[in-house]
Amino acid sequence: MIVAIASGKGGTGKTTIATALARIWDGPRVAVDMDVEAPNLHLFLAPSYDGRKRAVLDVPVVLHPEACSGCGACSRLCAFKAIIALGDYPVVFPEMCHGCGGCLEVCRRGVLGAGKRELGEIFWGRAGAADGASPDLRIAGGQLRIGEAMSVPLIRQVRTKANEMLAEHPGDVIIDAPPGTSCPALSAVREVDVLLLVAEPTPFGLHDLGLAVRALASGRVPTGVVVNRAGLGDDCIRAFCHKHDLPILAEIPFRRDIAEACAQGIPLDHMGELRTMMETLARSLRELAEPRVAA
Amino acid sequence: MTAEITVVSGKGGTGKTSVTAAFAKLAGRTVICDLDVDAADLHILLQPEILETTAFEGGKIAIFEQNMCKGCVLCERYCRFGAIAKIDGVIKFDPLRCEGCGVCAQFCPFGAIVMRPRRAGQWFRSRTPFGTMLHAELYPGEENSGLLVTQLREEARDAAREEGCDYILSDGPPGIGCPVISAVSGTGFVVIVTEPTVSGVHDLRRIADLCNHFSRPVGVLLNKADLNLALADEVGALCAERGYPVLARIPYEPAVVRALVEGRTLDSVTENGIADGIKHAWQTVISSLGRKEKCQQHANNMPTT
Repeated sequence: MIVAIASGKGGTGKTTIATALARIWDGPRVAVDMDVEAPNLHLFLAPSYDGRKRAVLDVPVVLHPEACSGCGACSRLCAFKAIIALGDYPVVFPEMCHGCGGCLEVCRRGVLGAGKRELGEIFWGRAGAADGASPDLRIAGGQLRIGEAMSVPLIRQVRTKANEMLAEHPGDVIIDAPPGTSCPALSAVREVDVLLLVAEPTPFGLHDLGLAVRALASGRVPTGVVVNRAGLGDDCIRAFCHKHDLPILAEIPFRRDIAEACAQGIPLDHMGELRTMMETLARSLRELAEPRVAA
Repeated sequence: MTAEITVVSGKGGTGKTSVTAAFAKLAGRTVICDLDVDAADLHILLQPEILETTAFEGGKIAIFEQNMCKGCVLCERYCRFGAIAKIDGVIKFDPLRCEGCGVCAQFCPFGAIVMRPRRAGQWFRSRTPFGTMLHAELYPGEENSGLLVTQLREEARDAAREEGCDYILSDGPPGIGCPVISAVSGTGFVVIVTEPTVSGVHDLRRIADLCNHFSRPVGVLLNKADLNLALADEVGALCAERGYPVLARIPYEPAVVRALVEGRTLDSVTENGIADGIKHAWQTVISSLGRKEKCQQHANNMPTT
């Protein structure tokens, strides 16, 4: 089964929850960090790496400028202003390119060839069971290059890597999604069996939970909510979940000692009663996903 | 000359919006801009009155004319984004995967695909007690958030010029990708709000590297500063090493959340010296801008040979 942990608002505790779930989850699983702009899961799961790979996007390069007839078909086709016919041959702005390949197809004279733009890197490995994590936990993730704008193609490559790992050795998947409700968040929660939204009871938290439910919870995917820092603000999240028929699967209290432990990187399952709470959460997620996984 | 100040964080949830709202109050006359178009929250604190709503068209989308389709699946072969698939003899199109490149439309031999502008959201020009506010709503799952950010910044610059405002204050998005790049490139000063947590410090480095990549001046505001003293020291050391002023160290304080729930900004939170801290931070931002402007003035006054 595939679980995605998401939220509209950043900093609600996605990675904290993903870390705890990944550690206590029974059976083989891959924890996948899809927040490639600010990847943090590896900081808490401390994996030993099995590999790292440069992730690239196919972009055009001008190979044979002398062959160009100046017809301008490439620059007319490009929807992203990444290739412009200037004078005798085209000029490519690789950082604007989305990698659609249209210019290569439309040029009849072989002016353009396949080049690469570095998106960042993807990495994979396994977490040790030394500090109490249950065995058979693998991790995959990606890190966007500084200055690179497009995270979605990198997220896709992280997903491909995770799928390869599952083909080799099947298991469940726990996805740590990026914040927000636009394309990166949506591409991270595609084709999952259960969606877990992490929210906090503040006016911002409530507003962004509303956005996340609208954007990410399609109605077809069973969805649950974890209230983090419960008791911090007001009762707004409970009222919202009740109204939208969303089960609250766990409530992590707002306490300074928890905040201090999280700041330091101590996983929730090392904090007394929170371990039991996370075990219950894992069970609830399996139950929520069951009809889908069985089908 | 209007100075643009952009508040970002790398990691989400460190307190960008709370800091921006407090700065907006302290700045007096300013233009305010919510560049977190993906999950805009600043309006919750500033309660703007919307004066004008404009549709945002972000790129294009393929539209299929099913009756003209002969099922040749050339489009499926050309689409590199997996947006087109023939399932049970019928062409299925996934609008969420469509990048709007138009390659399918270009190569369809039957003219069965046309590219149409994609309405991806809307933006607003509004009035707040502290000045004009530009903000937006990107529709779920849309891309081109960077384009919307750029558009909002242009509108903000026009508003600042018309109204003779000294500052444009922008609440930026989390992360380091497309919308963040659009938010920080060319801005006058970047305020990074961070926290002394393992993730906070990691992501601070990434957003600081991005600001460095675009050669932007940076100041750091350390929120929840007393949560972990060792990591707070690490943030301090990083700032010293890179020459960033530490604008304020705001302690971890439940009263901050109570204020937010009541719709009050940080400058009204007197507990634990928070109001003074945020005022000091704003003064430091202004004086950092002043220094840069004076340098520039000085450079402008230099005799040219």
